[in-house]
Amino acid sequence: MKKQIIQKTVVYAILTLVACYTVFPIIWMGLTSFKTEREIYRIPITFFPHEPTLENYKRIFTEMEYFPRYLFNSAFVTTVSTLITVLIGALAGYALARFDFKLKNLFLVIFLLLLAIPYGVYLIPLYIMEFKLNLLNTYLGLIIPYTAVNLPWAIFILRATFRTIPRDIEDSAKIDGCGYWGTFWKIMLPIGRQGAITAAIFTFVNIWSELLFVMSLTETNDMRTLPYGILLLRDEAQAFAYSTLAPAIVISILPTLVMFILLQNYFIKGAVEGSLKA
Amino acid sequence: MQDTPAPISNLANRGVKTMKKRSPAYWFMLPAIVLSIIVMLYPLVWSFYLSLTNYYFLDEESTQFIGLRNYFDLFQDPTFLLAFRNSMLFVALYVPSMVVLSTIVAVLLDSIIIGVKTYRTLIFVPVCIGLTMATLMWVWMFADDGIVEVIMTKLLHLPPIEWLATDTSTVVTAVIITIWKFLGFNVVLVLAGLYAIPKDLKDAALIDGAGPWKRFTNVTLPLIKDSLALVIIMSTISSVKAFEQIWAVSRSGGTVDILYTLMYKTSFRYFEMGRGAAIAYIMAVMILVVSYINIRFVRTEV
Repeated sequence: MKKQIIQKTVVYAILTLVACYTVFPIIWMGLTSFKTEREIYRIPITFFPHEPTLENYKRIFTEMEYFPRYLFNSAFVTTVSTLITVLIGALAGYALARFDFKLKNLFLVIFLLLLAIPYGVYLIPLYIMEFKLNLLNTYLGLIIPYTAVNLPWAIFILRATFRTIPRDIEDSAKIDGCGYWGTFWKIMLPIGRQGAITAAIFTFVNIWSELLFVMSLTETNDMRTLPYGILLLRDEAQAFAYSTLAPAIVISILPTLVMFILLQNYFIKGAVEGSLKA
Repeated sequence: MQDTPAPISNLANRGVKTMKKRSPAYWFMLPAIVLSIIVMLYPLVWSFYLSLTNYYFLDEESTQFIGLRNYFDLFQDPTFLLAFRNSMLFVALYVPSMVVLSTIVAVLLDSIIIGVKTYRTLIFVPVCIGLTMATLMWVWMFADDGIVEVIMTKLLHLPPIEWLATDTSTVVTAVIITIWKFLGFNVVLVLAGLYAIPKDLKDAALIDGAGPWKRFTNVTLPLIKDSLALVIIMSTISSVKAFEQIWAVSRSGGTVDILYTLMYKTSFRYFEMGRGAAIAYIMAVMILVVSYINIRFVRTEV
């Protein structure tokens, strides 16, 4: 009995330690963002802010010329790309879940392959293409690649969802006179919305934090998104200016963090389903 | 005498189905196929072609086909070899640590009843945070006189570590950040494997009087092999794909390179895109080989 209690205590102690490792950096960044500039660089460091202040947050919106713009670009590009990805992914996922056709297996293998290949392989030809089509430094020039590279994952998640929907439901819809198109919109998509939400979340998080494309496919500050924008802020500052970086980082992780808190079951389900089914 | 109603409707139905079954699927697939071809498949082929040329973006005219020369040159170039070594070090440190850590955490989570969900949530949180932001957060913690140094020197009385002093220590730092980001993801994968183990198997082992370690190696481990193979594949992919962690850990594009950052610099700073494409292809081949070996290994063993 005693041995068991000790065992349990050790287990909980280890898990708590691991949880500290995963959660502490976020808390620490949050605490830093409310400290005055002087307190941030005080030695020895303080844990809780002595005189909590919103000054840093005010400053990144008033003094940092481009920060609001980065925020807008991120929100706009990510939202649009996510919606298109889920829509196109749902169409393809439906076809791959429900129809038998000649090239089906080929498509599945190709999407699986594309899932593994690093974006860097596409990047150079994409850059040349966008240069020739005058798409560099435009929203479209970001939205198209973002949508495409996130498709394979979205397709596998949605295909897995659609396969769990009983065929009877679909058949009765067809008898009611819905065509394939009507069945997809009126029956499959609403019933499979759980998969659609999961795919949307993963796509959103991916695009929200993407760095490589935005670094190579944009040229001016007014087109950049948060990850690159914040790196630029960091590089401009002489030392690591965490009085402005901390609030900027907090704001840019907040949307996905809130999403996670509200929808964590979708996240966890998506992780398992996507990987297993793929 | 063909008209008992049921067969007819069946027949008619079947006719309609085989007729229609083929066509609509392609329509549903069309947008995905078009986008994938334009953004991924065509560039995939083009990239390979570029890697066989001396393509220089600022002087397209003088592009020449040079066969495999880029590849031979790369493996004689000390900068590339160092980046290659750093990438290998990253994989060698990251993949085994991730397999061991995620298995330990998952088994521990599986052994408790109270608080499973809370712990799982807390460990999963970083998955929703982008790597650039994650890296900047950790850079702040690792800074001189930062919180990590205070904890190490004041609380644990260890000597301070220069986190970004050498190539090796920079890679170690980046690995710590990457584990932080993906631990929850992999724990959940292993947990899914653990939950799939039939309860009577665990009970049987318990009744046989097997100790915890024996139960783990003889019963649990063989049954979660598939999950672990998945963890290995995913971890290999995410370590070869590592970019932000190294790029952002020192001043952007700082002094330490892995394959991905070198590929970026070669292509977009020096615009030697033929050579850049060759580096990208080396990375892709590494990932595909590892995935293939893993899938093979799992398939034949099961």
